[in-house]
Amino acid sequence: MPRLSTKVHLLDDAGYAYNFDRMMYINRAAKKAFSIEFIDDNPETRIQEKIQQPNQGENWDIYTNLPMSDALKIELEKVLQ
Amino acid sequence: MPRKVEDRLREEYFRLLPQAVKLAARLKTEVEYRLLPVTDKLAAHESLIVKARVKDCESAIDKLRRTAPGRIFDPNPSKEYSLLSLRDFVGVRVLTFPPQRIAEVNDLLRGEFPIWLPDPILDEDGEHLGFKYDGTFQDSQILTEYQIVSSLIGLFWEIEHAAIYKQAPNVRGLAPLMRTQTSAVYRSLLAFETEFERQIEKSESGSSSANVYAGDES
Repeated sequence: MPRLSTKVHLLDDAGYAYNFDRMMYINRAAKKAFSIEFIDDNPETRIQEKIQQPNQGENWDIYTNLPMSDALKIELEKVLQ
Repeated sequence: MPRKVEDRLREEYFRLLPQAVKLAARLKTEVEYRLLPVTDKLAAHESLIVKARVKDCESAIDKLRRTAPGRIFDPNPSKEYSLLSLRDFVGVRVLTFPPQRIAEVNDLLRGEFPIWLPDPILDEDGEHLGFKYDGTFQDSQILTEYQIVSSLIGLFWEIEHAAIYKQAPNVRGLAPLMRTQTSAVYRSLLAFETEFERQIEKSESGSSSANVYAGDES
């Protein structure tokens, strides 16, 4: 798996900013967030695919390796706004 | 008003703290005792230091928070958050310089804690930096770990922690972006230690052959 540093440029270039409180790359305009673990564990192609995939709904698209309850997703969306 | 997860964890922390402090002291003493065969034969330039610590309150809570997506506690967790799930609530670190004693220290402690789970410390490039094991000690419900690393790397972690993360544990979230630079520090420290050991060995083998030569002369 390539280093993290070789993958984060994809997110930087797509207008994502790193939030160290959340340990996530966040793009408020696109309503998407990628956890650092997701970026670590997935190849560039998959990250690129998720960046390009349009967000169809009102809710955030949050990419993480860990399971998330509905209540947690609601809380997380509140702090990501 | 319902209590926040953090408030409940702070209460749990101070309930566990007296037991954790005693546990840290006991584990440190046990490790020092088991390492006497090594410390007794250290050369003048060598050092072996055993340090123990109990994770401080905010670091412990922050570590637990970092296990959840977005570093936010689930308001309705399937299982209640507890500091007893932290594998390093109490920790002992063995620092050796130069690092050639690490394997010997590891063998001795492995014999004492054979069922503790290994979790080797690697840098971003997969370079082995040290040994780490976690388990339970003397039937305590608090989980403990011990690490064996070179003094230079262990002291770098202490400085990094004190200078950056101690006052603001959330800034630890920047650590993944600093991996390349941190790996460069490790490589420099490892190179320093390797060269130090090489020079010591060279010097020792030089004195030995000089003595033989002196004997031949006489």
